[in-house]
Amino acid sequence: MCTLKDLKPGQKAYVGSIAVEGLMRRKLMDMGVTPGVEVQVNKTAPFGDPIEVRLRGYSLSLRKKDAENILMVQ
Amino acid sequence: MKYTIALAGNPNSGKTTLFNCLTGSNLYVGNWPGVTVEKKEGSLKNTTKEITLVDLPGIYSLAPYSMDEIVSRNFLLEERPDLIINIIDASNIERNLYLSTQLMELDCPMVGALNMMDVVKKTGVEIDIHQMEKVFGYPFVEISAQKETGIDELIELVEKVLVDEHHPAYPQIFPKEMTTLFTDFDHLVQERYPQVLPEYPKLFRAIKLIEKDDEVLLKIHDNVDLMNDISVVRKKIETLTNHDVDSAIADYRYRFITDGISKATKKTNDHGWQFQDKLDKVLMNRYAALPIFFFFMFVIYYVSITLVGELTIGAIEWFINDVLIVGVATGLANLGAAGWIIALINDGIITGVGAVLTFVPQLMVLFVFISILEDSGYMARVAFIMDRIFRHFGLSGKSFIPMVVGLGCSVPGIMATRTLENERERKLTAVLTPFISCGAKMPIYVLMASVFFTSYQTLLVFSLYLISLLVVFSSGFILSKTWFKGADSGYLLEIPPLRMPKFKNTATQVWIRIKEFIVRAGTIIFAASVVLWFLQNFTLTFQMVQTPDESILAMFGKVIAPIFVPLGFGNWVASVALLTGIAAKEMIISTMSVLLSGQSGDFTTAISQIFTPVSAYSFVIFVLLASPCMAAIATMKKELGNWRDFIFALLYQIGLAYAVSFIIFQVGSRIII
Repeated sequence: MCTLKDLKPGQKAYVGSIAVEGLMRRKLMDMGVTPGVEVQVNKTAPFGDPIEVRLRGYSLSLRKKDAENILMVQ
Repeated sequence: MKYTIALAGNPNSGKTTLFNCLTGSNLYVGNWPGVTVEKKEGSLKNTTKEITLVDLPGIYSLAPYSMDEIVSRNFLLEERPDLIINIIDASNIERNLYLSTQLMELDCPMVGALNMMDVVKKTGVEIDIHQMEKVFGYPFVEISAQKETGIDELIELVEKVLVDEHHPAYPQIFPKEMTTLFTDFDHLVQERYPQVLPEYPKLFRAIKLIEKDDEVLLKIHDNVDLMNDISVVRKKIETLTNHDVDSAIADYRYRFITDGISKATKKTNDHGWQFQDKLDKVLMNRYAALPIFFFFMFVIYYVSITLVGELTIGAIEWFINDVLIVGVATGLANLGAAGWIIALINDGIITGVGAVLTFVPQLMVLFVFISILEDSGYMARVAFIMDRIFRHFGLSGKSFIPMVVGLGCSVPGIMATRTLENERERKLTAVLTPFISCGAKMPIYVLMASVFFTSYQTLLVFSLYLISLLVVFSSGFILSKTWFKGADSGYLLEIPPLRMPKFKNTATQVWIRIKEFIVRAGTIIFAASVVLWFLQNFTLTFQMVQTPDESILAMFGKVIAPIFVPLGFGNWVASVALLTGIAAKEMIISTMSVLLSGQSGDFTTAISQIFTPVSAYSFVIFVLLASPCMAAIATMKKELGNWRDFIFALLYQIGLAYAVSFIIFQVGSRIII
């Protein structure tokens, strides 16, 4: 079990669960980060944060702080 | 019969382009009373019916995160359009259809416009629109708003669906057990709490209550019994799905979509976005990203100010001073016009309005660049690059977008803060955006630079740009820890694919902005130039003045001038110019050129008599940082929402401008003698 933050650019995994409450949780879901979806990390921003991931055919950027709360399964 | 139809879709799905296609030249922009957010309305062209099309702000879902999402949602719920055109970026179909699944709950007839089909076809994907209709329960049409294909078919389809009396029910998105839970819950609500949101579409009401949607909860006023009933259903859903309610609902929506599009789309070959990726690797490279960004900014300023400025300003000034004014003077004199009329037209109107129009070519170039930044998708990338830095200053990377827009004009910049979800960040960004110099202030820098800093023009203007960034960052840092304290909202931002900006789009945007600028020159500045001319040419006893020093304006200017003495420009001309600049920043130059037109020598000589290089620099800094023009002030009030924050913001902006100019003049005049 790892989190989205631990994936290296180029690596793919499936979302297991989202361990964050409130607005951010629902926003993540609306943007397509739901259990079971495949996510690939594209790159990290020049200053090390945020990261850019690809899912459902588009690119989304989020902060490491939030990526840390997204548990991934291989 | 009059119809109202709404255009709804994700941000960046091509809504505005489609809106312009559908309404043609009938477009007008209107503000709705009582609503803070701008929606656009126009009438549909190429139709025999009377159809009003409303362009809503782009939204990802009907959940109320940001103000523009609330506006879109309230319009759909309260105004109840006769039909929704749901525009879907077909190259990002999966995420885009998520909004559709929510719109389907509104129980309103809908037409799906699959946009960017030209892009989709190039990547080797086929979409079967009949299959789409079968799965999603409403008709689709393939379009390309950019290339203007499929528009007639879309209008035809809209007409057909509008007159169709009974639109079929939408398919069930959720599995049977869930749907039963929803309908049972809604029956319970109707029975026990008939006063709860009776106007809302049933399924929407049930789901939003179950989701404990913030806006809906506000409307039920902590009804304890209802909250208990909601908890019961939530438990049931959790046992049924083994998930929490939020992920269960979102998950079923996406499952419905994935199943649907797997039936309706076919991939014929697999083309990636290789070129895109390569370009992105350069633009967002760890070491190169920031230098590239500053290089772009420098180029923008260099090209628009130095290159274009040198080419055009001289020519336009020659035309105005040596051709127009001389011509008008001779022409009117031949007609036997009185001397004061010639003076009014030449020294008042042509000088005032002309001083502003001189800068139109430079502004056009500036607007072209900003529009390219907006259209290409580079903005989102800059937000991505900058987020880490901005966070240190109490902002988010997204705050950067309003600021770049604000380079053109603070009004749309301040309005663009609506896309920020967090109230604290939104207000803070709205207060800081005016510190980023708008296009109307640019002519003042250019003028001062051309008089006092001839060999370092670009450098001077670029230094102002850096100072404004410095002010934004330090103010953000201080204000986010004092006046605008609070938690950050988190950051989630879609990175759209890089697109080649379309010439037509850029041209339209530049035209709209330049038109606004010229209209302002023709109205406010025209009127103000006339008034100024009178105030400047008459004494308090309405006698023609001998020298401008005796005029009403001079007297008034002399009263306030002492305030600016410590800043180095305590003369009445500069003081009056700053005052009229509140109406519109373009007025500053017009005012000075009208006031100085009576003096010997040309405008630049006159300017160099009332300023020194240091006081000129201090003056432009004051113009850069002090409160923006009336339009921007009004927009700021609207976005901040309350008087407390608004008055604080104004005082902060003026106070800071005064302090910085003070330091620059006091320090500068001691170094440079």
